Amino acid sequence: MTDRAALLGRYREASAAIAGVVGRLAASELDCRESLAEWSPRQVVHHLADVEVGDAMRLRLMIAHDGPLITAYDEDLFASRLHYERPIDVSAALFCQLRASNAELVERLREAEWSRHGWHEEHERYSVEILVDRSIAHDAGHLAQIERAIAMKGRT
Amino acid sequence: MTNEVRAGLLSSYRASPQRLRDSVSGASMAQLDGAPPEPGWTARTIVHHISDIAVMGGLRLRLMLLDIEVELWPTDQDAMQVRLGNDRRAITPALKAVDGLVDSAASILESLSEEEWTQPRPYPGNQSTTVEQWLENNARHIDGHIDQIRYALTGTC
Repeated sequence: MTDRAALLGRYREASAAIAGVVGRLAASELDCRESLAEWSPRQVVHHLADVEVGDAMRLRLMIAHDGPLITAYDEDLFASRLHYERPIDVSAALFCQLRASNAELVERLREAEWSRHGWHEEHERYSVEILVDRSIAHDAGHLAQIERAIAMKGRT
Repeated sequence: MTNEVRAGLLSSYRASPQRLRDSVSGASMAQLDGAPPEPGWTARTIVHHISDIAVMGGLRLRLMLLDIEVELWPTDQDAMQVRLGNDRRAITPALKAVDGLVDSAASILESLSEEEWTQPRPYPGNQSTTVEQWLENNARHIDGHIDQIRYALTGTC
């Protein structure tokens, strides 16, 4: 298996991991958090969905445009303005549905298209490959955050 | 916009992914890729266009609520279709993406206060818009293209 195939496999499989964790969340665990500085599982799920919408846009821009500007977003502003107190089912489903669509789009790319890129406000050169790689790390980081919040809840 | 009109529009928007599914239900591969009677997109490429624009709309709604003005999309939709390979991609992931994007947007809309619905928001080109206008535009966009799909598949609206 090539590195690219392995990377895309992990990118696609994130949906199952997120769905699995969300499916195990008890109502009493949705709003617990590891510390006051951390997000709750509910906020994390909405955040993952919102990021996936942004990434869907970024992928399409990078594939269809030559060197587009990739805008950076303030994730805390998203959390404060987008009513993250909402139920999580819809956001969890959106993450999975959009990840499947994004994965399907990326999997079809030829080798030359894989390195298509834009210019990120914070990270400078930002390619399809970088987006996929960072998404995998981002997913894993937030899944761990949910697990830590649940563990903390179990200790209190 | 009265509350009654807004509620009706939101309800219709919520149901639009099912209308989209119904419009392509039972269509063969040949029908999905068949050239419409007049020059235009095939049913397959229209489905992908709806999905791509739903991505943009979903992000635009979120940015509007954050009062962020960012240019998001190219004006050349035909070039977009070509670059994304939309004439060769399966439609099922796109249909599911539309399901999720519309459901999510509707969920956000239903959580808004009256002020959030009508407050002027920045829009590219030094313009302003409202969430109500976003809903009108996005609901109309999907339904307009569903008519186009029916035309592409059957030659009649």
